[in-house]
Amino acid sequence: MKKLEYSYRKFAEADEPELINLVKKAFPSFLKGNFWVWKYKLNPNFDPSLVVVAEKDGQVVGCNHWLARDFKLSADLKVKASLGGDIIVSPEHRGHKVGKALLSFFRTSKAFKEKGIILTYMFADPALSRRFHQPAVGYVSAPDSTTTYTKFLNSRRLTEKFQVVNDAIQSRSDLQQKINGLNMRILFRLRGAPVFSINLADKRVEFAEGDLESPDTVIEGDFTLFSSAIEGKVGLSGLVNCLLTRKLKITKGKLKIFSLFKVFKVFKIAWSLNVKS
Amino acid sequence: MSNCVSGYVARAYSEGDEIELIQLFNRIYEGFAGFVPRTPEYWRWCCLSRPDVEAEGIVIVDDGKKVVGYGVVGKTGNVWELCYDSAYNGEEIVSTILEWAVNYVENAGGDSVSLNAPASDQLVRDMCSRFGFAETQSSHMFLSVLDFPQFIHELLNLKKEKLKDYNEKFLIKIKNSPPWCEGNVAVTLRKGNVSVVEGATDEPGAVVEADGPTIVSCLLGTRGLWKAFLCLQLRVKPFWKSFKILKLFSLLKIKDPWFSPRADFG
Repeated sequence: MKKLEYSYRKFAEADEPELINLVKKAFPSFLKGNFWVWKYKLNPNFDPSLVVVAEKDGQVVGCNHWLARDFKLSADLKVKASLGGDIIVSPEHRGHKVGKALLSFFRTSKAFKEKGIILTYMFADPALSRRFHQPAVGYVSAPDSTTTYTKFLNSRRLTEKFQVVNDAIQSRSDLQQKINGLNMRILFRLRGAPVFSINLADKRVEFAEGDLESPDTVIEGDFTLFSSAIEGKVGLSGLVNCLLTRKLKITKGKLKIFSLFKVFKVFKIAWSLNVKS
Repeated sequence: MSNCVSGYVARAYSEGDEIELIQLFNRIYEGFAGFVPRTPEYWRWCCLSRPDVEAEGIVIVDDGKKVVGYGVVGKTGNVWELCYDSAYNGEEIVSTILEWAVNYVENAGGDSVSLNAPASDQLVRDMCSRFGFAETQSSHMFLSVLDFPQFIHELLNLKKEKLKDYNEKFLIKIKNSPPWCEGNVAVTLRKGNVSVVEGATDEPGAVVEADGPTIVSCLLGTRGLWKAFLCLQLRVKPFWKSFKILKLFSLLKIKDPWFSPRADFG
């Protein structure tokens, strides 16, 4: 395979139209792709000399923004830091280490040092950071003493999630085999979400919002754990742990516990198919 | 729109409120690691001009004289900032903000409401539980040190008073250091004076060797210093100086809690 050649340089005003298009292409759903102006251009900390662009054949194919900030490393210690903004690489140029080169650009060019910046920080999904940011430039996790609280106001996202799971099951006979015979109606009363139920019948999963008369099983507890279990973020051992620590409780139909494990396993496989596609 | 809640008034933001809001924000959160001070200009950008925020989504709770709490609620369901003065009736203030947030997002057609609070804030935890919120996972903060000598110098300087008994010259050897980072940091402590220079030093009394992420994690407290030592991820030579050096590193460890408001990274 021919190695693609990329070059990296600081942002110039003339790059702006290309950069806006690139951002729109990479994040079409966020702010309808129009967030460049607000997030960077209007940011009081915006410094054009801290934007790097990647080029291929004279075309901008990637960019990364940095914002200099006064940052408290502890209650009594303020240092100059730089917040790493979005690393954007055009989809067709991903997998060529463009992101890593963008992250390294200002580190190697000493631009940070000249501005007295002694550390950089950024916010990311921990799984993505383990895969990309940490090996690329040695990011380490900051101590986590921030708690996020969420309340779902309706079942729209859950409906979509179960639609995805059901579609995957319908497309795979092995998954249908796995849930065959596991006919049951499960009612969920979870903190952070409206009451809902799922009905497993005829190799299908049906989702319904609201209460259910005489369910086979009732599960109570924390919505996040349930959601993580469907997405495969909590494995079988994690699920057992949640039940033992009462973070998830089976308040009716305890004898169905092994069937429930099987159901979650199928959901996990079905969800992973969706993620891969 | 304004509501009176037992002595407190809940109303939407009006121009000029930001001065009081940022004073409250800076006072409440300045003790946390990860804090970025708010200026009126920065607040207007990160809250008021945020694409999903409009003035009606910013709820201000005051007691008729001063602002005692506020929440910046976006149509997307994000509570970008939530702040209250614990010297007042926090329970009432926080419940007013949460009620406003849920109603506002529901009316805006949002699916969920999410907010960040320091883990140590039991009042917010209790109120969120009462309002049917669940704890969820969100984006996490990651750090990368660019200038090791300066980073070590800042930490040593901060603990200068406690270092008076240390008369030590040691070398920190950063294993597999990236190209932008000098692999050696020489530290000299003499009667409370701190000197940190890039590069090797003659006859150091001790050598501490570890990779950059291990050193930073140990100083941030996300990795146990002794564990790293026992797992041979951090070595001290000569071995007999290990206890003294590790004790010094424990002293440098950042112990303040960290907090990241949603508005800082959304």
